[in-house]
Amino acid sequence: MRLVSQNENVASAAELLMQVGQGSRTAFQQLYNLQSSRLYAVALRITCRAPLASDAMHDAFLQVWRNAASFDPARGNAEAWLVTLVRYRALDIVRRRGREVSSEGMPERVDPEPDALSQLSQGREARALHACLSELAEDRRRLIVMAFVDGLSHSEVADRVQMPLGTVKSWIRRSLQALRTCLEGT
Amino acid sequence: MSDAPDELSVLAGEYVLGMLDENEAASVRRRAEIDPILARAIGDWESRFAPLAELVPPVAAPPMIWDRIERSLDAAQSPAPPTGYRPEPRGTRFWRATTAAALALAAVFAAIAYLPRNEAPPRLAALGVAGAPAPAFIAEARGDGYVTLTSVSPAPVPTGRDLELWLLPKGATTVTSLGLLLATGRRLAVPGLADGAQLLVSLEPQGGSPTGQPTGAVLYGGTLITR
Repeated sequence: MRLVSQNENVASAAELLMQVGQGSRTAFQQLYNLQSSRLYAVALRITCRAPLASDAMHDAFLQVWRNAASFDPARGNAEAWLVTLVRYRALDIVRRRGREVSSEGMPERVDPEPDALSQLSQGREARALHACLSELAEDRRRLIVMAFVDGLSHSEVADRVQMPLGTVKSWIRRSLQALRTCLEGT
Repeated sequence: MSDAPDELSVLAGEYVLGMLDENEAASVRRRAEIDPILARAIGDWESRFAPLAELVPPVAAPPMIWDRIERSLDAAQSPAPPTGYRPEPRGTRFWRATTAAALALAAVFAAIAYLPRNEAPPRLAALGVAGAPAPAFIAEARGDGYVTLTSVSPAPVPTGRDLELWLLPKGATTVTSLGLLLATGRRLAVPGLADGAQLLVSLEPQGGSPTGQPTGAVLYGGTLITR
């Protein structure tokens, strides 16, 4: 078996997270250095504002520090855990605040290209997700990707794609049902 | 009431995508704490959807984020008031305002009456202006490293401006941003707060101070003391 990580000289996020769980500040900083640009981008995309994205990162990383010992590598991968924490903090912030529509100074949001999904890494979850998203009609797949990446509510998605709210809700619902069936079969 | 597994899974999926509003999301979170099936469905969607984050091109995080995380950790790990705050030269306007805000300490005692009785004594501060009948916010720091800011009677925030919360640890000469503060309040992690630390609220351009230090008027302030 050959394990290839993107940078074999650097400890993986999972290894670092285990060390963080034992109280290593060095590992914590390495983990931050390894993951911060990826996670900050996720927070910025959802909050649309640098100070809010910074708040989300700060709060999420303190959670990482406090809860690293409870992370169970058998139950999920470290990158997914980190993304989840940062997304929830970012979503909390925009939900509480109400998202401002204007986002001056931000690069214009571009919907991910349909075949961008094929660039997803080749991890097991990524391959399964790619395969199952590919089974959805393109316009429905787009709504799911948009909702996740931009952290949009039903009505924000409806505004963005100029579709009735009821249609968006029912498409999302059916897409989730189809994805679940497909993913549980993979 | 019992939802079909399908309904539960859809609800969990909508929650993980981020499509629910604040109340719906809070209700799902509360329910997941006591409903292991919902909690499991949420966990499943979290790991299924996480790869989609790769679609967002990385953006270098501003260095101040790591500095702020480190300060929070240092504060959490040292029982003594944290040191290592780099003094920076400042204009006098901010400090004048800070001194005035510190006078609002008296309002703390009035504020205590509002608060529920609790087992561990919290640290409290009333953030207001001297002479005002009620504080703008009440800050309550508990042993879990979180501070809750409850909105009491803040003045309306002008359109296009934001409130930003600052920490001045006792004996420190420089404030640290704790992020933006909504008029409705906020709960945030600020480990290691000690008695005598001041919380200050300034009026900033929308999105917060561009410099990492207060640029607008300090509207409210208060000092944390153990109840």
